[in-house]
Amino acid sequence: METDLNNIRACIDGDNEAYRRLVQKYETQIARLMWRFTRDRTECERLVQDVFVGAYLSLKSYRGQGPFLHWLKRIGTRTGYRFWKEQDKTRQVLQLEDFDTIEKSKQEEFDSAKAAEILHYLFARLPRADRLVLTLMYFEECSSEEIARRTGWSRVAVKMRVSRARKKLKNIAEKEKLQEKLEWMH
Amino acid sequence: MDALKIIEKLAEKARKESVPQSDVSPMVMHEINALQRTESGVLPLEFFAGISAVAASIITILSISAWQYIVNPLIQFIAPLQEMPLWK
Repeated sequence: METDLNNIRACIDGDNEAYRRLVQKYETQIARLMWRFTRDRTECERLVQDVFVGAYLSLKSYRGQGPFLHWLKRIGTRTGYRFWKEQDKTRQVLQLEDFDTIEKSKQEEFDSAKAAEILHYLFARLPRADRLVLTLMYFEECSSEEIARRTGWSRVAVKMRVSRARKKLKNIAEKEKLQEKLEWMH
Repeated sequence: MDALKIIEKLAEKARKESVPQSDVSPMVMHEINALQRTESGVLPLEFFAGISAVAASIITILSISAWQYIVNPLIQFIAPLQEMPLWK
C-alpha cells in the first residue's frame, strides 16, 4: 500500500517508470476482471490498456483511502460496462456454437473455460445492467455492497437488480434446458 | 436440481479459469507518452492564441478613437439637399 502510494506520488510528479511498475503489478488482476467482459483476447488486452490509461489520467483523484487495486477495479468495471454498451450499439450477439453439444461432454472434459463460456453466453442474453451485477456476483464473488461501490449504484438498487436478474437468468437457463444438458452435475 | 444451483456450480468452476496473460505495460506507456506529447503540442497553440488576443485588443483600443471620426458616407447625399434652396 505504502509502495503504491509512493509510486503514485512519483507518477504525479512526472515519473512514468513508477506508473509502469504499477501496471506490471496489477495487470494480471485487471486482465482477469476484463476477461469477464469479453472472451476475445485482443479485445481484453485493449480493455486492460484502456483501464490503465484511464487510471493514469485520473490518478490525481485517487485519495488513497482504499487499496489501489480496488480503485482500478472500479475503473475496470465501468470500462467493461461501456464496452458492452458499444457492443449493444453494433448489436454483436454472442454465439456459443457448441452449446447444444454440452450434454455430450463428460465431467472430465468439462473444464473451467467451458463453464465460464456457458455463463458468459447465458449472461449475454440479459440486459446490460443485469448482466453486470450477475457477472460481478458470480465471477468476482462481489457482495451487493461491493457491486454498489464498483458501479456507483445504490445498495438497494443493486439488491433489487440482482433479484430480478436471477429470475430472468433462471428462465433463460430453463429455456435452454441447462438442467438436462448438465445432468451429470447433480 | 434448480437451474440457479447449476449456475452457481458453473460459476464456481469458471472462477478457476486461467486467464490469458500478456504484458500490456509497453502499450500503456506508449499511449501515455503519446498523450503527453499531444498535451505539450497544445501549449504553443495556446501561446499563439494569447498573442493574437493581445494584438486584437490593442487594435480595438486604437480603433475606438478613430471610430468617432467615421461619418456615414450616405450623409453626403442627404446633407447638400437640406441646404439647397428649393426655389429662388
